[in-house]
Amino acid sequence: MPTDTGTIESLANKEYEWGFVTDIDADALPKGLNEDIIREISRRKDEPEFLLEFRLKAYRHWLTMVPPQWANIKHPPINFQDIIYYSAPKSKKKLASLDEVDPELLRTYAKLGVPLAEQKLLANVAVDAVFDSVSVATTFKAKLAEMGVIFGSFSEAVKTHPELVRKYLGSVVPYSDNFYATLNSAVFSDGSFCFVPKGVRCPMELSTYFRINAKETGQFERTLIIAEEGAYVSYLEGCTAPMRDENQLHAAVVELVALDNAQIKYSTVQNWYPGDKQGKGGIYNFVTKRGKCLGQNSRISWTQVETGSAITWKYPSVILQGDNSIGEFYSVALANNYQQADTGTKMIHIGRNTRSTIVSKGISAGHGQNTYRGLVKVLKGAANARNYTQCDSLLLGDQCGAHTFPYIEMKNTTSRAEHEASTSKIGEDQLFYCKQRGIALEDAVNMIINGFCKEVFKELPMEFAVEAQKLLGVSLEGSVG
Amino acid sequence: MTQLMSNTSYLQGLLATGPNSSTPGPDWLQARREEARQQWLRAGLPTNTDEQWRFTDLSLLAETSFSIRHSAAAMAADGRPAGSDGAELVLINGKFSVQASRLPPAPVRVACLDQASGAELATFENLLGAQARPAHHGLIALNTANFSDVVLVEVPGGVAVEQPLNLVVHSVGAEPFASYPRILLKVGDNSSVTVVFSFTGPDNLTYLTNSVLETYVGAGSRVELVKIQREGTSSLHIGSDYAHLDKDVRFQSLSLNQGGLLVRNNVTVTLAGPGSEATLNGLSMTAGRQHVDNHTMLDHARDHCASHELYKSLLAGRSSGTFTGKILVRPGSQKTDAKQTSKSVLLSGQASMNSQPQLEIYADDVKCTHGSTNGPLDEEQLFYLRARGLAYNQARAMLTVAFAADVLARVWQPALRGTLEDLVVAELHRLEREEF
Repeated sequence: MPTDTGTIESLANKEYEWGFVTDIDADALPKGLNEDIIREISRRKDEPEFLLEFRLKAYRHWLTMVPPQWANIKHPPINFQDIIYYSAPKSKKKLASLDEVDPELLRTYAKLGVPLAEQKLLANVAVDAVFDSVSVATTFKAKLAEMGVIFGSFSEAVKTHPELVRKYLGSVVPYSDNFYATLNSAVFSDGSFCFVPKGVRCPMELSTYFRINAKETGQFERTLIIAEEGAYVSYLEGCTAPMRDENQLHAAVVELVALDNAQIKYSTVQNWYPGDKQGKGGIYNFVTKRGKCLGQNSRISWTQVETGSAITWKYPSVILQGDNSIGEFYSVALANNYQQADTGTKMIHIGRNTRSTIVSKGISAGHGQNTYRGLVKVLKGAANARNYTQCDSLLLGDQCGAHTFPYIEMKNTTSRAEHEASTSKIGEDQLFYCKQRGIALEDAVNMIINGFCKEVFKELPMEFAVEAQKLLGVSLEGSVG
Repeated sequence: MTQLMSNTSYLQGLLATGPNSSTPGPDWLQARREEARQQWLRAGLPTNTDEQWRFTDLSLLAETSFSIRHSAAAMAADGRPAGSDGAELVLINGKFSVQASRLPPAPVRVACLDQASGAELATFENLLGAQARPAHHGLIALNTANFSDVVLVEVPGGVAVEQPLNLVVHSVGAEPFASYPRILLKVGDNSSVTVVFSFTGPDNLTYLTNSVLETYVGAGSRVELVKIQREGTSSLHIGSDYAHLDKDVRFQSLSLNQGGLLVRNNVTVTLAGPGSEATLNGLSMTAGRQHVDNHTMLDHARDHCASHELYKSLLAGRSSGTFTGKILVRPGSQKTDAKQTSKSVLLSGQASMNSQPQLEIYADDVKCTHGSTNGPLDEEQLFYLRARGLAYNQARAMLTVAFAADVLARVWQPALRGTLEDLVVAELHRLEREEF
């Protein structure tokens, strides 16, 4: 269909819309990493002693580590001394309400479509916005506090609820976990903190918006979500960054803890700047996300739509420790142009009757390389554990690659694990069928891709699902024809 | 242990179990051996930190001190698989034994590197190590440095060999020893042949069989390789089998594993010409503390090729298994159709299984799938059979035989299929007796 290629290209060749830079005064530390920088971050954030200890312990351990090489990604070595580890929008005094937030900053979020000003809020979404390294505003706090839900920036939680932070920080992702998680443990600057007390069903979707703005900065946020017995929370996360020629590092850590009968639903739409068509620039997204189903009958569900980033290295995992607990992972990952995605999940079955479901959809286009890497591990004590894994890859164009590397380790005889994977391109017959019925080629392709991803999209909250669909349409560039 | 595996004196010790460096031979052979020696001293034994060897612990190999390979003269040709009346080639501790063999009728030719000269020697030079490179892993390097002989079986073009060709690899000895069988199989264009490899050795003795097979299949040929691995109960078996397929080839391999304490099979098939089809099958039946690791690599280097893979494992006792299957579709290998299935049944509470089915795809017009299931025998099926009056053990036996049967059903030669079925049923009885 060479004649149709042009139309699709023009449709899909939309530029990265969120690539602007906000001209705002930033208060940044000098480049580089050493103990003084870490002490300074800790001092500026007025942190308690235990947190500084945690950071230094992590930093000293990090010095002994080397960056992991096993992932199916290629990038030049990162100079960790050439990164600014702390950058905050300059503010003159403590903010009392949204009105005092720098209007330039508010305009940025308005451009991004983040409903920061309360009057513009979408119903039932409470937003915590993280700009470069610090959290700038949290909405709906009062309403949440009424229910006993603590939701806000991490640094605030450190001040108001140090006992909770101390108890759970590093309990799922220990400071020594892996190279990037350890780096994060040493230098993390902010992030979101959420605590849902016993028996509370969080009345609205909680949401964090991440934005990397300043040049040469790395973003190292840390998110901690705790759902006590019987609690329920749904959490959304979105990310963007300006267009720049150099690569920027994003190394986040997310920890989820679900106690008895609790449920956490974590959704991500990741749209960091992916670099230009020649693969120049873009974000290196090296993220460690892990949830722990600590209690019985608990449930953690990860849903992710990964359309951005030059490199995505991310394995949201669930440790199924409580009996009857459930772990889920739904993912759509797109690699276009020179993007590389190595993503997947780990499901560690420890408790009895634990169940896990993995649905991964990978789309490769242009020169993109998309890898699913997943681990299903059933330990000896996990009687009657059950796993179902499905990963499908769609190839658009003959220069791209789709790879699948699952690991299945069974140590229990009463358990079952199933894995299915397929790789194919959009069928000529499917396209022909649609076109024959008067559907234009680009619509047909969009339709087929959306159908391919439907299983994952239906797990997303409504507003996010619509956004994700649009994003996917935009991110694919004339790769079909 | 990791330290021991890279300890120089240990590595040199294993090298000493091969021929000494003054062994005569053509210059190219000396050079290749020397390169392999250097590679072995550099790389050493793979360890668990090596991604390709994560689940197979070779420390048993490192703990054992192997004596110099046993003299071939002390051999008695016993333990041969029954019912094979075709040609039979016998290797004893890696050395070809003319006395014990029944040579195949012309035009199939058998040659040894020791006695080769002229054009024959040139064939050895061209084929030896062209696929199995010392850099792939330490054990190939060790084999290349240490093999005492190379056997070449050559089927010329346009020949259909009716009877299966048997190749028996015996290990004989009374104290821990190592042998390094090295085999080349060359099939010309438009020929067909079935080769059955049997590996046997003494029980209750720690010995190492580190064998390398390189197969070259010419255009339009049909080749079936069956490997029956019945090594001794305490042995270590490392097999590295390579096959290079030209265009329009039909190739099938079956790897049947029942013996050995620590077994690793590396199967690497390269589809180097368009229109070829490769089928790789495997069946492992393990008990006790056995460990069987099947590692396959299907390299779709050209377009319009198909591959099918079916690997099954039955694990009893405290045995463990690993299946790693990679399908690599290279850029430009359009219209590839690759299907891979691995299934395992854990028959006891102590058994464990790891699977790593992998797809690495760089072309878009392809159809690639893999599926992997691990679990116990289906309770509902057991219940159904028992409800019809079968004893629990009978029902289990019936289900395990059925599970194994569809791998054997793919064997081309009917007579061979029958022999293999008998072998498998007997083996399953052994598993059943051992523990269920």
